[in-house]
This record gives sequence, C-alpha cells and structure tokens, in this order.
Amino acid sequence: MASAGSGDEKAAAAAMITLISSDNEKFEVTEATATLSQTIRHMIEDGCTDGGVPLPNVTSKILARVIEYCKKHATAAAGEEGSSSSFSDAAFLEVDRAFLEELEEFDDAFLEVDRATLFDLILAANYLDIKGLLNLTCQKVADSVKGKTPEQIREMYNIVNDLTPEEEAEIRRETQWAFE
Amino acid sequence: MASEEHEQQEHLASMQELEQEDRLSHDILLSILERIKLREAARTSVLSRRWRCLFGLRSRIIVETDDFHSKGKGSNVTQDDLVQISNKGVVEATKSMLAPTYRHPITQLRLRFFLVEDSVGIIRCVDEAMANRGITTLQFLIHPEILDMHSTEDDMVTYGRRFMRFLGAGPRAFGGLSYLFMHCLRLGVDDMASVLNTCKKLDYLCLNLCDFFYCGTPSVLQIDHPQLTTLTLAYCTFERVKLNWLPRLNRLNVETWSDSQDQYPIRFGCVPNLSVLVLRNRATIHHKTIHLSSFLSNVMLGVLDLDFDCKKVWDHTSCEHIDEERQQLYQKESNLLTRMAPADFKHYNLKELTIKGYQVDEKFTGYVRCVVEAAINLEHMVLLDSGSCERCKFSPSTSFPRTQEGRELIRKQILQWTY
Repeated sequence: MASAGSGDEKAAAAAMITLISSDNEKFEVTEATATLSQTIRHMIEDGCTDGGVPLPNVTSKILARVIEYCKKHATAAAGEEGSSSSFSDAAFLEVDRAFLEELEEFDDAFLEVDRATLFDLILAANYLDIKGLLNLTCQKVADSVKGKTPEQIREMYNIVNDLTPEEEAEIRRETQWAFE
Repeated sequence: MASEEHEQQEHLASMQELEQEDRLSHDILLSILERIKLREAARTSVLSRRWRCLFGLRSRIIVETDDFHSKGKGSNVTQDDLVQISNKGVVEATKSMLAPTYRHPITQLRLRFFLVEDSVGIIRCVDEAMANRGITTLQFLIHPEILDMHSTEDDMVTYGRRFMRFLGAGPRAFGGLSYLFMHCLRLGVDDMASVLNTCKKLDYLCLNLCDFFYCGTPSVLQIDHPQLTTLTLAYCTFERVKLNWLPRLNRLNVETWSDSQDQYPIRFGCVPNLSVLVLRNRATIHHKTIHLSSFLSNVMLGVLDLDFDCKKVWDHTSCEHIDEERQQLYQKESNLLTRMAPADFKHYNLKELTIKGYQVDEKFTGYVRCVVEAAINLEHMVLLDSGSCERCKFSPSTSFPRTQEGRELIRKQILQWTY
C-alpha cells in the first residue's frame, strides 16, 4: 500500500488533460476523469492529446456539467476497483451502500435541468461516448413520456404531426393492441 | 407592445425546442424508444412520420403478458379472464411486430406468454419470421394458465402435451431459440430428449416446477446438449439428473430437489467448463447428507454457493409444524456441511464461497476454516444470515453475529487462517 500512494501521485502529476470547448474555454482534468469518455480514451492511447483536446461540438456550459459528472463517477469507479479485489475486504462483504446512495442522489440532482440542456447533454455524451451519462440522460427522456398520450408528447417535445388523418387512423388500426 | 415581444420570445423558444428534437439522431431516439415499454412505445408511432419509421426500426422486441394486465382491470375480471386477455395481447402484439411489412433485423425477441391453445399463433408467427427477419437472440418464457400452486397433476400432463405440440408446430422457431423458461409441466423422458434435440441453439434453460415421469414414477433426466451454458432446475421432480454431455455448461443452479436417502440429485458426466454451482435446498430430514468432496469429485468449480435455508417445502405449508421439529430439521441440515478432504488437500479453482444461514457454531467455523485453508485462491467469502419464514417468522439461524464487533471478530479470525 505504501508504494501505491507515491505511484498515484506520480501518475496524477503526469496525467492532466486539457479539454477545449467550442467557445475556446480550457478545462484541466485528470486522466481518470477524462477517460470515462471512450472518445478521449482513444485519443490518449493514440498520443494525440498534447496541446489540449478540442471539442468543437461541446459548449463550455455543457462541458463543465459533463466534467462534473465524470469527476463524480471516476471516483466511484476507483472506489469499486479498490475494494473488490482483495480478500481482506470481502470476508464480510460490506457493500458501501451510503456511497451508492450518494451517487444516485448526485445523478438525480444532475438531471434537474431544462429540456434544452438535457438534449445538449445527450448530444455531448453521445459525441464523447460516455456510456453512463448517455444511459442516464436517455432514461430521463424515456421516463418523461411514461403515461403520456401522443398529444401530450407532441406538445412536450414540439413534435409536428405530419401524418394525414387517414395515415394516423391506419397506424392506430394496425397497433390497436397498444391503444385499447 | 410588451405582449407582442413576449409572444415573439415564446415563439422563438418553441422554435429552438423544435430544432432540438430534430437534433437527436435516429440512433439516440431509438435508444430512448427502446427504454419505453412496448405498448407505450407503439403509441409513439402516431406522433409523426419520423416516429412511425423509428418504431419499425426497433431491434429489441420484448412482449410480456404483464404489458396487457391493465387491459383486464375491472371488478368482475377472474384470473382466467386476465390470462385470456393478456395472452391475446401478446399474440396480437407479436403478430403486428413481426408483420412481413417490417424487414429490419431483430437483435432480441423476448416473448412471455401462457401455455394456452391460442399461443400456437405466436409460435407459427415466430417460425415464419425466423426465415425472413434475422433474429439473433430468441427467448421464450412460457407459463401455465392456472397459477402453479393450483395446477393439478392432470393439468401438468395437459401442459406437457400442449408444449410438445407447440414444439412440433414451430421447428424453426425452437431450432433458433437461445433462451427457454418452462414452467409447471410434466414431460416424459423421450419428450425432454426431443426438446433438447429440437432446440439446438439453446444457451439458457430453466425448468421451474417441472416433473419428469416414466410409467407413473419419477424418472432419470438425461441431459446432452452441445450449446447450453446455463441450466437451472428449480423445484423439479425427477429421480436424478444425469449431466451426460454438456461441453459448454458453465453455470448450474439446482434448487430444492426431490428427497432421497440413497443418492445425490445430480450425476456429473462430461462438464469440462462447469465453474459455478449453486445448490439451494429447503431440505427435509429425508434428504441425503451431501459430502461435497464425493458429490463433486469429478468437477472443477470456481464458485460454489450453498444455501441451507430451513424451509421444509417450497409453499411454506410447513408453517403449521411446531418449532421443535423445525429446529430438528435445521440441526440435520447443517450436518450437510461435512468435510472429507485429506489434510494436505489444496483447492486451486475455488474463488468465491457464499453460505446462507451462517451461525457462530463449531460446525460452520470448522467448515469455513477447512475451506479457507484448502482453497488457496479464494477471493470472496460471503456469510449471510438466513431469512426468517414470512408466515410464521421462524428464523432458523439464531446465532448469526448481530453486532458490528461480532462480525469484525469473525472476519479477523477467518483472515488469520488464510496465512
């Protein structure tokens, strides 16, 4: 354990990554935080992160939120790795419930955003290939339409109905099992 | 003036939002759509042309009888009506989702339905779809129309025959099946052989409350299958299971088997890849005591999960029994932990051991010590309290350590044995 401490420090000092948002703002993050994004992980592996990683599709406002998410979840991932591998911690498997609950609370609070920001987060998570964040945000949208009528969903997401009344009637007939 | 400005702003805001729905790609919208339960997702097909098209691109199709339960809500609805209504929903939904107008490949098709005559429509429909839609993973979960606890032996025989007819009606469907859950039916030995023979691609098989009889008595269930990786037998009645040839079997769960003083419930044949064995038995005094070393003499396990919970039979009818008898049953049960290994025996594969119903007691600590000393690559040990019976609140393990200090003490003790 003693050697792990100095190793961590060394690794941390060497592994800071600079992310550059579309509006040219720079964010310094640790490699552990940045590599939650598969896109950035591949760039690091290919050695093309010197001078910063430009992210032309992500604004500074959204990038700041994405980094906030990654920081929290990178800590969680590190905690999990540390605890499950050694027998000494597992004699009585004490799952760190408090920490998991905290993480859930963080996710819930993180999703308290307006619809425009939620869509921006989905796009950023998709572009940066951050699976956890993409799952979280897509689930939020899926949950938001639960129990809603088609009319209510159209209104919520400003979807224009370009089906003719005949077409709509036909679809309703074909999928009658869904409407009864 | 002010209201005009306000209106303009509102219009602008809604225009921005309008763009946003369009900004999300097909893939993202599909991933959102696949998180919505089938009936609600199907309703999105009337939102617009784009959404109609999206619904047809759904590659994971999961149809559950539960999806249609709400249709049968009402004061006069019997269990029988509910079964008929929800199964009709599954039949219609399956037919419509697999309609020949859709050509998109399906990565997962998971259908849960009742074993009623109408369901043959599902089988035929899937059978046809196997030919013209690429279905990667096909899963059937088949339940009896009567609640299992109310099914009689005659019912189980009827279900068994019906199941075999379904098998004949959809050879392509069953031939491509990778996951099968069978519930509450009685099959003859030959029937089971033809099920395994027809379902060549089966990866996962779960038999729940199934009986295997020959001439009125429980028979030996012989299992040979080239693909099967997971096998679960829960509450099944058989004389014994012979795992003859299962080259890919990785995980075996056996829960509550028929009692016999003479023999072990399972005979291990060629199972070179078996690494996880979960044995759960709400045993009775009529069960044979298991000597793990002789029972498992020809298998190499990585994970062994034992559950010695004290419930005499699965439906809790034993709750009427007096506590002394249950206590006695329990004493007998914990005797199942018998160690027979030679002193210098080392086990290299065991990585994880879970004991449910642990007690601070010489029988358990001695056993744990024996395992810890022999299994030199053990990484995880989980010692759990046994749950108490939901009906009578009887809790068999009375001396599970209740305090943090007590647990810590045992943890330290066990760790000492590892060095």
